[in-house]
Amino acid sequence: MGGDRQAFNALVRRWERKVYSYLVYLTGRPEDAFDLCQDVFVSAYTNLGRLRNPERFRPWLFQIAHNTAYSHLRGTSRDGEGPDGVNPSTGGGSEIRLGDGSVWGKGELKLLVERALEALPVEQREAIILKFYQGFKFAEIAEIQDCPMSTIKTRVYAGFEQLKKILQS
Amino acid sequence: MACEGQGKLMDFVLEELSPSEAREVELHVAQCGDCAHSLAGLREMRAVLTKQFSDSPLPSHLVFLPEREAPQPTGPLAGFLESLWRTAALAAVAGAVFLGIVLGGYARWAEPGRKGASGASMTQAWLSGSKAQAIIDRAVEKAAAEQKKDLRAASDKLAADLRADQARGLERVARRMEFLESAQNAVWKETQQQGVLVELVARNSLRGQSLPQGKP
Repeated sequence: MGGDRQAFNALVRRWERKVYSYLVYLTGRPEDAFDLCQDVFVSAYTNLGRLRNPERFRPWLFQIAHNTAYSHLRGTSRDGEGPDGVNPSTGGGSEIRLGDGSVWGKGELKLLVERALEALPVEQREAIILKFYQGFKFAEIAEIQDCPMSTIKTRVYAGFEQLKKILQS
Repeated sequence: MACEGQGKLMDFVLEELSPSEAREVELHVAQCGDCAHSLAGLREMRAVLTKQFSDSPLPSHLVFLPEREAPQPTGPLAGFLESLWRTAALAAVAGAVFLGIVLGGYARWAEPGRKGASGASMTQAWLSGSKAQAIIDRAVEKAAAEQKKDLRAASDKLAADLRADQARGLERVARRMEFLESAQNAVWKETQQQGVLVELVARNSLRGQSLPQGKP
């Protein structure tokens, strides 16, 4: 980039919505997600010199977003909220059983999926978001979450099965 | 009994297999009813999940303004004070020139053994004094003009800096208000969704029967 701020702002425009949406799904708080999003891009600009392969920018950027989000979640100490960012009072209790899992309408199903995601542990939730929403490969998710690919597969499979059970119960 | 091919179905649906491995799964599924049924279920579930994710609207666009490298003045007043120092230095130089000219003229007038000191030399000395006075007047006039020019420039810069600061402040407030409005809309939308869900649960409870089938 050679310190070209205009070019970096073009990159920000290209990825800001994806990163912001990922952080909203992960933290569940849009206002925190916006602040974290700014931190992510500041960190990306500061460390841009360390990116050796420009083609790896997208997983590299999400790795920064992952680290930023987890630092925030670990530091969060609200009432009843653990380090995984899920409020136990709404996770299991918000489960709604409506029938045999057929589609009830876009808004209703979306709400069900969001509630089901909230019930997952944060690592599984993140793996599902990165796989089904952001479209990353297992190898890229392993790089982002900094763990072996076998662990990523386990998280995605387990999260998928859990969501399937909730939605088809 | 579970088919051995079931293990790779998930990777196949998630497009994690190599082309040769994917081809093997396709061939197997074409011959195995259980795996074909499982595959259909996995594909449907994947499609449902993928469709539910959507990009959240940003409260406002991020504009990246990294910190400047050179040391910057702490505010608009710093530039104004800097120009005042320059003006004071210029005035000091003009004063030194004036003093030098006066002392030089006096020294020439008071020089001993000078011929015709009371006559022509007095007239000559007087002319030198007038000339010196003219030089001094020009120097002071020039210094005053420079000072006036510097003060005008400093004043213009101060006004421009204050306007820029005000604009930045207004922009920050506008962005914050946009974010608050967006957050408010999100809360309102969430409330509406909750209302829909409560109504649905109430309706189901009153009916006391399984809900009609929707589209698969």
